[in-house]
Amino acid sequence: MPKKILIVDDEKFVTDTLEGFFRSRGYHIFKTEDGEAALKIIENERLDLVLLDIKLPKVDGIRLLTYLRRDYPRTKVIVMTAYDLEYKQRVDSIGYDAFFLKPLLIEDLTRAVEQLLSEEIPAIPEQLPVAIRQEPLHKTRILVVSPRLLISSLVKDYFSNPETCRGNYEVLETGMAQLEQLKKFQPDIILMDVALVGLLGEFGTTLMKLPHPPKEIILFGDPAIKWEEVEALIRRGIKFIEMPPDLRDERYPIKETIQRLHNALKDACIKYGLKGGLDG
Amino acid sequence: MATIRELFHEIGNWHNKISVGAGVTKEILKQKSKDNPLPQGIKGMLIKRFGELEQQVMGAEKVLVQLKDTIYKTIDPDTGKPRTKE
Repeated sequence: MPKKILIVDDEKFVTDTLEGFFRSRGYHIFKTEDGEAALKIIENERLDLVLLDIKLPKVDGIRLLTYLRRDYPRTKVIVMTAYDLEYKQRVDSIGYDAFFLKPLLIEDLTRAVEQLLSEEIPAIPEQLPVAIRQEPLHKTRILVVSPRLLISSLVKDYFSNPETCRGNYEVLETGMAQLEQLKKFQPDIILMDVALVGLLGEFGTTLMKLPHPPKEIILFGDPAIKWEEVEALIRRGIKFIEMPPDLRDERYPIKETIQRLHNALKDACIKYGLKGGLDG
Repeated sequence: MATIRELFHEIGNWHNKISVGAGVTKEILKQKSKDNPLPQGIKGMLIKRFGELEQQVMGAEKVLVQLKDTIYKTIDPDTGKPRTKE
């Protein structure tokens, strides 16, 4: 059965052109130029992928993205938007599967569509790394892995600040592209954004090969994202710190989440005899 | 009257339309010419030209972004008024 793609862009030329192109490649295409009509299609069709512009009439792309992530976590979303830092930060904080700045290069867009639609849920290793290292107390090294720059830098700032954490933590933030840094940094604990959980299989394999694998991985993020995969990990004992969006104003309660991450970190430090467990 | 932000957005939209149009035409040429072969020289030239068109519009957008950043620093793009120094 052909995969279903919805194209949402306020420019009819763009939706028409992309519709013809992707249809010729065997996909079942829906298209619309406004957010309200997009909502109806999302609710009525079991979509595999949405190509989403952000600036839309009636219901904007930010709201559609929030809705898709919360209620349709299995639908892949490619955000395509014009250069605007404010929008980029907002969509980063919600999450997406791929992001393109306009003007688009069709070859790149096609590659992303094909890749996302051919993705299977990756195999997750049966066992994640456990403690094997007994060392004197040093600053606990935390690696924050998130595609959302705003969130990862807030988490980093909090745990790097001696006033909030008594100087017990050394923090490195990274996206999946900089995994090489892992080998040098040798984190004790990894705080991983749930938006990247689909990559945990690959990530876990990389971790297992490290000479000093981390002692614990703590997931955090919106529970609506990738829930089935997260649930399977929770069953295997992985800790998950929820960050459900406040639906009244569509913001994430980052302060509360960081506090809960701090508590989870302290527990892990006590469990493994790391320095961070000694802070108040 | 449109704001500066809306005008920049509009130019960006035109760039995107050119890029999407050129890119899709190039890809369809590659795809379809497998079934209905065009003379090799013509096919190659068309694909090359559409590819160049895509790259040129990317170049135009890069300059536009620089121009936008420079203007936004001194003028509020929503009101059109100079920004006041704090």
